[in-house]
Amino acid sequence: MYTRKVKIYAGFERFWHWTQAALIIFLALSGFEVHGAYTLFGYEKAVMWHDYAAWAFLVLIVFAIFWHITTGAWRQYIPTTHFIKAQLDYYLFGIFRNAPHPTKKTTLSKLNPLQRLTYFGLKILVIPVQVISGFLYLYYHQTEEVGLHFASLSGVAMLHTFGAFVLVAFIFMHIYLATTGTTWTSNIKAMITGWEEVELSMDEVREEVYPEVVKTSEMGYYFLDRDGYIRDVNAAWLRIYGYSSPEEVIGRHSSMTRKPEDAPALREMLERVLAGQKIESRIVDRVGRDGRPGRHLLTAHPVYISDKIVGMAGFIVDESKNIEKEAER
Amino acid sequence: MKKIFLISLLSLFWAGNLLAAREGQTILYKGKKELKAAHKPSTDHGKLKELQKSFNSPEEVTMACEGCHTERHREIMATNHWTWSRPAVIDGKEVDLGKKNIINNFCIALTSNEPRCTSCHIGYGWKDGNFDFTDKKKVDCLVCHDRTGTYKKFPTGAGYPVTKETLFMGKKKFFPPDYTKIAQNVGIPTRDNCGTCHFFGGGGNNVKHGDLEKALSKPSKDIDIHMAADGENMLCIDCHVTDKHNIKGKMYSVSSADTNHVYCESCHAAPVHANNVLEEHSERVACQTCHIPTYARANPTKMWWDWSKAGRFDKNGKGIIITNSKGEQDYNFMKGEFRWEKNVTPEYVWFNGTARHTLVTDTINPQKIVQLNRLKGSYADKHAKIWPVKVMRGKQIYDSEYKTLIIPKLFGKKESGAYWKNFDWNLAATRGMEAAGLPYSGHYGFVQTEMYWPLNHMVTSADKALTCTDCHSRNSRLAALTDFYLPGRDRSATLDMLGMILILLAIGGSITHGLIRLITKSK
Ligand code: HEM
Ligand code: HEM
Repeated sequence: MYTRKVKIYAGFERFWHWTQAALIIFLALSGFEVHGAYTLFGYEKAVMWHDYAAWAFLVLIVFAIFWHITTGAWRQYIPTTHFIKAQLDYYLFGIFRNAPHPTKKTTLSKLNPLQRLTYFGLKILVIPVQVISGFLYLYYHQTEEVGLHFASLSGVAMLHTFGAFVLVAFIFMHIYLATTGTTWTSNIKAMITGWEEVELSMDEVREEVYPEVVKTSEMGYYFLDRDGYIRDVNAAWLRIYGYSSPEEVIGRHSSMTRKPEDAPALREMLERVLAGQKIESRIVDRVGRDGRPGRHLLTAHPVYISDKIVGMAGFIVDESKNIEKEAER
Repeated sequence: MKKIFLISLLSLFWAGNLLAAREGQTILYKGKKELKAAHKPSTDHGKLKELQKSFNSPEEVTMACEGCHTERHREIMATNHWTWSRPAVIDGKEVDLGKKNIINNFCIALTSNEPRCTSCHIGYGWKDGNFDFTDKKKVDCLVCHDRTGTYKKFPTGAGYPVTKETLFMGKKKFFPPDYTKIAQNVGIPTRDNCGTCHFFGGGGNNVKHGDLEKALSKPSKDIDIHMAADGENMLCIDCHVTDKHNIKGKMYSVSSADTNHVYCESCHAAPVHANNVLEEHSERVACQTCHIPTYARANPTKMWWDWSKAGRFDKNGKGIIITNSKGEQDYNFMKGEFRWEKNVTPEYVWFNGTARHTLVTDTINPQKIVQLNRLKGSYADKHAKIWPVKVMRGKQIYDSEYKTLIIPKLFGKKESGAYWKNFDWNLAATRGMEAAGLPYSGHYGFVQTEMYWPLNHMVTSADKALTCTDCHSRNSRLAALTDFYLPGRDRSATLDMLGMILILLAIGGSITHGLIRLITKSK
């Protein structure tokens, strides 16, 4: 399995999340005391602090909305029906067999479809209902003065109480589901530190490996522009030619890599490639650093950008050692 | 971002604390200096020649007062203390309420019983229906202005003091007043002057109101924070502000309109609470509700009076009186069965300031408890607030055929047919209704009645006021007020059950799922 450490929760997200968690838990504790379920803070304090916490919650929500809009993070909560079944299957069966998570988490898509749906419901429905019913509750007399008539407080209170139950149930579910990450604690650690080991798909792995391979290959790599100037080479190319840094060659004309009598052959090959041909293999004699001679096998092909040939690239393998061996023989 | 949020959070709490810290309230009570000084009149009445003589009758004293305070009798005669009547337009009809006309469930009614009841009239000689309300000689100045504490009207003397030493009910001695001394020492009314009548309504200490009784003569702060002798020491008339002898305030037992009242707010200007939530409560909760947590804190008040049980005698023909271990009469052959209570938790009603009364001419439904007065209001009525009341309950005589209440003749000589001499309800009903000029069928029964007395006195210190959970809890004091949603008291049992099921499902589901993960050793 391929994984990578990713910064998955920004500082604000973590701050927002834990402040929200603390506020909701406190609102639930004080709220259910107001509801008459138990005595904890003392009724007067419960009411007073419930009201203060409610205001703090509202401020937090305003900040969070601002953050979500400006960062575009809101897109994550847009529900999708893709993979919902797969995700359900995973929680119901796969998880017990250590099957892989059916959906993967990235900075841009942290939430699996089930989470998306739950949080979407939470943010679009439960929390707004709770906040709106809460403020109607708080300003019940004033809403009447404004002419907003409710038959009695009971409707508002019932809605608010219902929302409170849903939120408390959510807390329990949510805390449990937070343990279903890669390990029991990986999600929770991520929400604290911001970093998480994220699984990579094979495509991602390939994508990642691809440029790396060219850079670190033992084959020399080169790229010339249409005029024959050297635009890129890799470490192996430099080694084969005897250079120590790319600055020494990049930007110079490719003719410096040949004896003067071989230069026309190079130009002719460039012209053929720019016309669309490929050179499968050819042995050439080069001129390395300080005029050091050598011989290598070369490939060449046109490089396209938006259907236009912008240059020639290819690989080289040193043949000097083989030649020396042959000579010895 | 974090900083901005923290700052806004902090400022929020700071603002909240500012609100909470808003201590102290504005009290618009200016009486302290002025009235306390005025307890001593500017004139030394002892130096007035007009009063340096002996008086043969209380009327002579009144005329001596009139000599200087001319025309004051006109003021007196315009007040309810004199007329005992309170005309009001109720539902488009002119109705005369007031002590003179009202029916209660203590001694029931004035008509035909005058000499007993009018011992508390501020006049002399209202002994029957023929009293002359225009005779200025009959105004009793002394009952309110006596500062010697020696002026006493005789309980059955139609408002007169005695002329020679007299025993009342074979127990209490009454002496003829020393009019010269009393006249030379007059002053403004103190709590004792008002208390002479208002503490003893219904025939004994604290019988009627429950929050007005002799302990208010020199109360401690625990009994009444305003009148506390060791505190503000306010007089009745500090709140019951008086203008031209018209004393502000009136009781819903005898009146119905919301006029001429004394309000807490007259002195305590809003905001009075440091806590906004409490301050908002005053929109729907009367100050009295929280600040009079209990009444009758010093002495018991009568809560139940069953006239139907009256008239029991022992085998020797002696009227039965049963006194309990606390010294309260549980039974009196003249009056029936009583129940007393001390430290009473008030009952609570929605009250918008107006009342309705059951008049003696009204038809009643004897199957139901008859409300002699009814305080109007409900949650839906935006002018109504929750008020603490003493509810006086009992049984009293009614006409079982005409379905009306009955005014019985209780007091009088044997020949007059008075119940307290003959113990014959039929005779008492006949004579009483005759005197009132009302029909009586000759058939009577006893019906249960209720009377509502809003509480205003015996305000405690703020730290003894009700707290949230006195009302906002499952065993709320407001259990009887069911026409609105009260947080902490009310809930939907169905919703709570659904909610608990939801939470248990969440917890149960998580635990089950987690256990399976553990057992199958998946991560
Ligand atoms: C009632 C309180 C809570 C609410 C409303 C809440 C809400 C949320 C939301 C909306 C997310 C998604 C955040 C995002 O990526 O944009 C989230 C993620 C998370 N929350 Fe909470 N949370 C609460 C309490 C908790 C608690 C108490 C814990 C830990 C013990 C917790 C742990 C986590 C973790 C670990 C994640 C990341 C989950 C994942 O990526 O799968 N939360 N929470
Ligand atoms: C901005 C959000 C909120 C506002 C403005 C708000 C406001 C209120 C108000 C005004 C009350 C009546 C008592 C009082 O004055 O304190 C109340 C009661 C209550 N609140 Fe909230 N609240 C909010 C959020 C929450 C949350 C998140 C929960 C639970 C998770 C909650 C649970 C409760 C409960 C259970 C009651 C008692 C309801 C009853 O029995 O009638 N509240 N809330």
